[in-house]
Amino acid sequence: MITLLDYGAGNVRSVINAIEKLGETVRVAQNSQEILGAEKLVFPGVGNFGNMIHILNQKQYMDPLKTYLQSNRPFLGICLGLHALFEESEEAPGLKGLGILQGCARRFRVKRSVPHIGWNGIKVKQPSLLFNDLHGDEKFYFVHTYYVDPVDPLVVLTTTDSGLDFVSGIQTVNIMATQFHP
Amino acid sequence: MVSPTLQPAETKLAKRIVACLDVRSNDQGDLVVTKGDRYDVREEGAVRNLGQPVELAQRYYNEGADEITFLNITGFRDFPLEDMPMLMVLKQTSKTVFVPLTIGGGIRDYTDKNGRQYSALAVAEEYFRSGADKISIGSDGVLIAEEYLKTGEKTGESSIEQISKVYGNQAVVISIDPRRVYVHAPESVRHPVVKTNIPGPEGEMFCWFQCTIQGGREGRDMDAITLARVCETLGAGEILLNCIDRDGTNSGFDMELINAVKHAVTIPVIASSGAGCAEHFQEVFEKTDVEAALAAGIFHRREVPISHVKSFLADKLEIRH
Repeated sequence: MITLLDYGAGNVRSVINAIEKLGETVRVAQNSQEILGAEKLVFPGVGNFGNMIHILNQKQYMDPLKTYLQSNRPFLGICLGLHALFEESEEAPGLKGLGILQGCARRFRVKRSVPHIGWNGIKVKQPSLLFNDLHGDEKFYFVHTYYVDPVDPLVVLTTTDSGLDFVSGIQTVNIMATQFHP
Repeated sequence: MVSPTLQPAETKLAKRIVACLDVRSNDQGDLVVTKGDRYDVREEGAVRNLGQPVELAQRYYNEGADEITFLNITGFRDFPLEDMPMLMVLKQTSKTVFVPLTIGGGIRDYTDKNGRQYSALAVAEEYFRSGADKISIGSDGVLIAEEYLKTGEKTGESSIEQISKVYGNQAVVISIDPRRVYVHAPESVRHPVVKTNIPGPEGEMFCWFQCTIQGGREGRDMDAITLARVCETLGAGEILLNCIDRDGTNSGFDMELINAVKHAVTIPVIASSGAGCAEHFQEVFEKTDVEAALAAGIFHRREVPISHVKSFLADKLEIRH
């Protein structure tokens, strides 16, 4: 059983469908108790960082999420679910993220088109369970205007090039999160 | 814990091949895929039917489409959320098709027959909940841009601003339907004009790209370059650039139009209209900086399968295998 956090702003159906296709069952968390009680938690984030933090605050999900993340149970964050782990984002200055990882999300200032949309590759920086059955030359779907900039280089799981070499995945013990949509 | 065997030194963003399904209600009320010839979808009175949307989307996914776009071209006289078939199509498709899905058509403010009001945001919300990753705004984008240009001030009220604020810029695609308007002299109109290598019927050497609404039926006093710029300012994350002159002609993309719009914005542009063979995709990616190219008719009729386009491009450009 995988618990999925849906804060109500985006396409979580594609994530549910993908997990179910892999033969797992999904329960969408309806309250903070179900976050605290999850065995495995997936947090797909879509949309705007500020909007997400407002909703997480409003639903009083911030503290249960922090508690869950400190409990060493498996966590997979996707897109904004990656950004949420950090202290803050240039997308919504002044609003605090979960702060599990030090650093922030920055806006792309590159000569390429922004948002970075489309299928790009990954450069692996450490081994992970996430890489089962991967050859290494696969492409993943990215769609974002901001990227995370962690203080601690040891949490970097993957990087990707798009005008600059940015962090596209992080891993620290059981907490994993990707900028791309796996 | 595993590490993949291949370790690329540099990663590259792939050029995207987007398959588009123009869907609309037929005279029996079923949602069918159709394809017009310069936007006329009727053939001897009946709507052209090119297969059921869910099966077709599945086929495109299996053939390697990087993205799938549904454009619902039903003329919405009524509230579109009563158009449950489209939501069903999205729900069904998203179960087995794991590439991004875009839905366009009817995303604007409505008042239903009981007088209840719905915002464009609420309509978009239903589409996202049903499995859409992005929504595409067409005619309404032109009207929003016209309003914006009257004052030059953002109101925060437009569907582009509202949807991008909640769902992010990347979730809002602006679909532009321009047509060429030829002129003899660039200063004869107040719109941005390009010098063209495809002269007009009277030998005109200049043209501007007029935006249309209502499926190309009504031309507005707005050009595609300005529209793209304004929509980017308001929060759009991508431009889907059609071309009425090329739609259904299989004669290749309109490079002059595409370059003009691409240079005007910093958000990604999807080139559309005119693809007739795999070489046309190579041409648009080599002669312009667009990130993606879209086709509908040639994929529907299997004249050029998506798998062929991708294998043709494989040793020429960065693509997703």
